[in-house]
Amino acid sequence: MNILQVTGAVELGLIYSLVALGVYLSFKILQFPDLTVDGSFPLGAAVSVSLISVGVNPIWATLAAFAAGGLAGFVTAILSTKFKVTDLIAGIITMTALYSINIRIMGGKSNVSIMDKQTVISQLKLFFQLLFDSYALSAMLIVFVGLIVLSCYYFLSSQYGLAIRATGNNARMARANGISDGRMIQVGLAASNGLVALAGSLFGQESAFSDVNLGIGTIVAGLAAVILGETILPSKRLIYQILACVLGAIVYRFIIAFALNADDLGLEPTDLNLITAIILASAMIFSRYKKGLSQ
Amino acid sequence: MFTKFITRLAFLFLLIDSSFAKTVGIIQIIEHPALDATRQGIIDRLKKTDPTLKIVWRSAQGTLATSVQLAQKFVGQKVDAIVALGTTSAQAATKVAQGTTIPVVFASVTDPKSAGLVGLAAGVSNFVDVDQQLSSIQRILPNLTRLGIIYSPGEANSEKLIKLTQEYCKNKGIELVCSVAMKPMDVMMATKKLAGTVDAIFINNDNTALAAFPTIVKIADETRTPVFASDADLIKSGAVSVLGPDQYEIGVQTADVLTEILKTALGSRVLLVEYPKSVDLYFNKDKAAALGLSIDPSLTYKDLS
Repeated sequence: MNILQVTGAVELGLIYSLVALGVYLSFKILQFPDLTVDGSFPLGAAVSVSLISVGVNPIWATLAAFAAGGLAGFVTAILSTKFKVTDLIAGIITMTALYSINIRIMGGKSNVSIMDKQTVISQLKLFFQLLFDSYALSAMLIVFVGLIVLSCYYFLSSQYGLAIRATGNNARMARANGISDGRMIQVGLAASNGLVALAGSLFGQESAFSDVNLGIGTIVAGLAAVILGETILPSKRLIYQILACVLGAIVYRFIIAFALNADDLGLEPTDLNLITAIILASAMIFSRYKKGLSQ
Repeated sequence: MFTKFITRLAFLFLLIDSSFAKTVGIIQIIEHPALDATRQGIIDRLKKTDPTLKIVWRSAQGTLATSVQLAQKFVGQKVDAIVALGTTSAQAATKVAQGTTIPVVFASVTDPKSAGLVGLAAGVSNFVDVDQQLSSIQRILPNLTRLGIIYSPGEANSEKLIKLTQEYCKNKGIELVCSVAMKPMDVMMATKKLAGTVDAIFINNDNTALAAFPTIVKIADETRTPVFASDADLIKSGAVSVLGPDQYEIGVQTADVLTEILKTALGSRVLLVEYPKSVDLYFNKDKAAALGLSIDPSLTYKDLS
């Protein structure tokens, strides 16, 4: 593996760690299997890239992406809490609708390019390049994700955050204590999909294009990251659980990078997904085995 | 002793040889018969023009993030050139290779301008003049009043072609009936909507429709509706006529663009976008007869019956 692949895996891992955090928030904390993320990831990219392509300040474009993701999560939550649609189906409904909505956001096109425009990434890169040279993007993302991790931690440790965690833990008990579980799910899913859309926005700005098919496999990547992180860094403490999501996302990218380098084993290029699956399975089994030995 | 010497010498030769041999990395966004044919054309042509060239091809298997990591792999490996098949792999490769001296050559990108590739990458666009295609359909079916088209709105290639098709049909007074399919699974329903209500069905470069082409032909045949396509390989899958390039030949053309770029020095490289050199009218007489079509004898075509 070359150095560019390493930094690339770290950078992509950091961007996707926001997806992992979003998935952690919905699947683990709220116990809500939210499939909206396959739609909110490209939503973030579509909103940001479309706004940047018409000259909007990239910072506003990024914030708009977060808000759009929040709205998407809110819609899923409303479907589930107010209209009593099963959680899984509610997510699928929103995800399906978002495909067409994303095309509309991109002005009827399925692909928008901003190769020549300034983005949040390019602006901040200039600043970071002074200190970190070619590692500017990685450094920038570490700072950014670090801020998000701390924000998540403090949010989930606050009164509001504890109420959200209580809702996921035992909704009836939470209700008995005066917590509006419907409201908690709405806020939780909005935050979760906001984070995923933010990740999509960063991805779109870094790649300089947005495509409606960007979201395919997002939920898989997110869940793999969360579970991988949980296996590598098991802990009951919240901060470590949050950091495990980031770690899992980065490790997942490394696994794919390794799979891409498995040239000489006589396998076909079309076996990539199979190789990724085998490495992922081995990593999980090895970690469990190691834990079993130490007990 | 002697064998040790020979092995060492051979090893040394291998090292020297590998440092002179150039490497080309091919990134394919997804496996698909048309893309596979283009890739094969590229590989076969490159092997003929430069047998010492090391060709590495990888598929992102449909996931965009993987194509970004693939581009990172190749750029980090410092390959001599990257070939990208498909719009999103071309965009990813161009972005990752920005700032390096590695040229990116693309194929199977219908609209390089909207994709932001012009000036940054060279390649062969698979855009075929829609007007030419539609006028050839009119020549075969002079009484054409309703034309059906199946596509996915999620494909960058299709939306541009749809707009041009709509313009042509408006000018010529043909009613265009659009049928949308999000995934290859939906193509059957999309075709059923059209079959029997239109005079002909036209399929352009849309990957979703192409993936389920046999289904389209099967349903269209039941109502004796002729199916026109844009890729010569589809004649054997049941299309009655195609005005278009051969996907394999596009690959060959792309390989030539690549060879030309690799030959020129860094400073004097010109990144051009080419269009398919050979566009022919392919026709299947037997299929036409089976559908009950009578053909204008003055029509010249390549017979693929």
